[in-house]
Amino acid sequence: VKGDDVCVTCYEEKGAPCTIFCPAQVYEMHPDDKGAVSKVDIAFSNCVHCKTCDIKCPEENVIWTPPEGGGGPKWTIL
Amino acid sequence: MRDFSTQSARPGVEREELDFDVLFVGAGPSNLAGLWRLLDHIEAHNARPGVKKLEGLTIGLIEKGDEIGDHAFSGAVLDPIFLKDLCPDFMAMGFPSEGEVTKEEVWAFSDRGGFQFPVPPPFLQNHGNHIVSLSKMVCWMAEQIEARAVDGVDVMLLPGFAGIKVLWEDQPDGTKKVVGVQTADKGVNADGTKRSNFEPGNLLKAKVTVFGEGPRGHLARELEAELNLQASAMNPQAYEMGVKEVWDVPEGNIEPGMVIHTTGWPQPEGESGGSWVYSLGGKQVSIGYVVSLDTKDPFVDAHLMLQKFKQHPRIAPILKGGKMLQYGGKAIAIGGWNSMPKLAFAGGMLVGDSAQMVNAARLKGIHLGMKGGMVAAEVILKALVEDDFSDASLMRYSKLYMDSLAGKELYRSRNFHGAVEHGLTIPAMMKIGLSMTDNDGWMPGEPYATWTGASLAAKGRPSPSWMTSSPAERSTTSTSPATSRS
Repeated sequence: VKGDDVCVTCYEEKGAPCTIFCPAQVYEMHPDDKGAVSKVDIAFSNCVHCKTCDIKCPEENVIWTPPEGGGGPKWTIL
Repeated sequence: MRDFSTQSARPGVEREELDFDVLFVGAGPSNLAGLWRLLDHIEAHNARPGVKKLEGLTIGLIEKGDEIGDHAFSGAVLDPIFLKDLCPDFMAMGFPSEGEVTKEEVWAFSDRGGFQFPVPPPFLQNHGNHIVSLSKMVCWMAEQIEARAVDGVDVMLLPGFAGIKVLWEDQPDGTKKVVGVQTADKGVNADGTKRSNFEPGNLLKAKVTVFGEGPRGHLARELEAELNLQASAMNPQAYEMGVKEVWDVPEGNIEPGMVIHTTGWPQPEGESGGSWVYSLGGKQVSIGYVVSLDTKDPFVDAHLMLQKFKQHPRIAPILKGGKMLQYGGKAIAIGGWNSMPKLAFAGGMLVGDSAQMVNAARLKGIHLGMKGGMVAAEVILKALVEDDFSDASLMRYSKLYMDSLAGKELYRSRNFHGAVEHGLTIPAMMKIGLSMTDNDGWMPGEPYATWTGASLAAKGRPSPSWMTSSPAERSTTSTSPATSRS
């Protein structure tokens, strides 16, 4: 993620679609008591390397890069 | 700024340099088919009398997954056309087929029922194709490759290594040339600091690097920024996203060899998408839902669609009493012919999903990607023999691929995704119907219908061979294997 401020604005104006379209719930927004968010929480251990965020982030704010080798899903029958 | 890619910079770290002749990035079907075919070609070349033998070659393949197959994801129904080419007796060699397709249904769903097409449309007729698990399939391909010993060639399959950065070299004419990739550092905290088990990534140098990273590769992004590969394409790259689950189901719920494709409910009106249900030998079921990523509504939730879809009266009985085993999701390159980037450049090539080798109408791309790898292998052999890895030398791949059966198939299906962009509307159905007549996939409204070979050449694209050559020439353009495996 290039900049948190972009994500905060996106949350306020567009409702942060990444929290919906990500099939593995990597992106989470946790509003405080007043309903404001300060950053996007990235649970990268959930990531299934589908790269939808890189394609679909409305602000083109996500540049997906792989974690160290050997990470990601361990599919054997998909 | 939280940049998880800072590891590619990390100055002051000493990196080991490894030299390869050919480096494949990504262990998918395209690259494995390419590696396989390259070994065939080298073997055949070295067996020929009177030629300079290729010796002391090192061929590497890196994969970001922990094991080969860990990140392979697809439906999948495989058209074995090019697999037969690669390995004629694949079934005898233990190919992990889940059965040939024997029965198929195509539906347009409504929330309670739906309309079943009395005959599946021609592009969705799958009889004779194999239902496969792509993970199992690439494992099998890797095993076959590992079991081979070709004189003069050292093959290194390296799963667990993620390419993080393209390595460039300036050429005398001011352009840049790809000379390999850098792998990711290991043992790094989320904030970028080193842990005690820190291991620096390596510099993998190669004469030619084949990028088969799948859809929207992070290295392809770097290539695009530097080389502007998409400039010669008619469209930007286009994507869909699929989510999939594999279920264990009680026997009798679904016949072996059964394939169901649906469109319509539960996707929102005006969006395109659809589902698959494939029987894996009658005991397991692969079920998935695909949504287009160029939707008007950014809130389309593929995962939610799949959950709704599973409750449909046609689908629920199949899963009844079953248990979910694995699930996953992946973006799909869907642009096809109109979105294909420049396929080769100095020191590198693109294959498979990275090059948008997918037939949107048939919902298939594995065979097209495999063909990509196989054609690339043919060109790599020539490049190795001539020791010429320039843009011109490697661009022969693009011409050969576009003229092959795979290129023709992509050309014919080029308008499908555009037609169904807003769902299976009446105009979309009419356009698809028209394109199924013998007109090479032409549809009304196609901006390129008047294109000639010359205007394609001006865009740096080989013209489809049927535009320029006689039918007799066309039948010989598909490349035949130089050797069959003994």
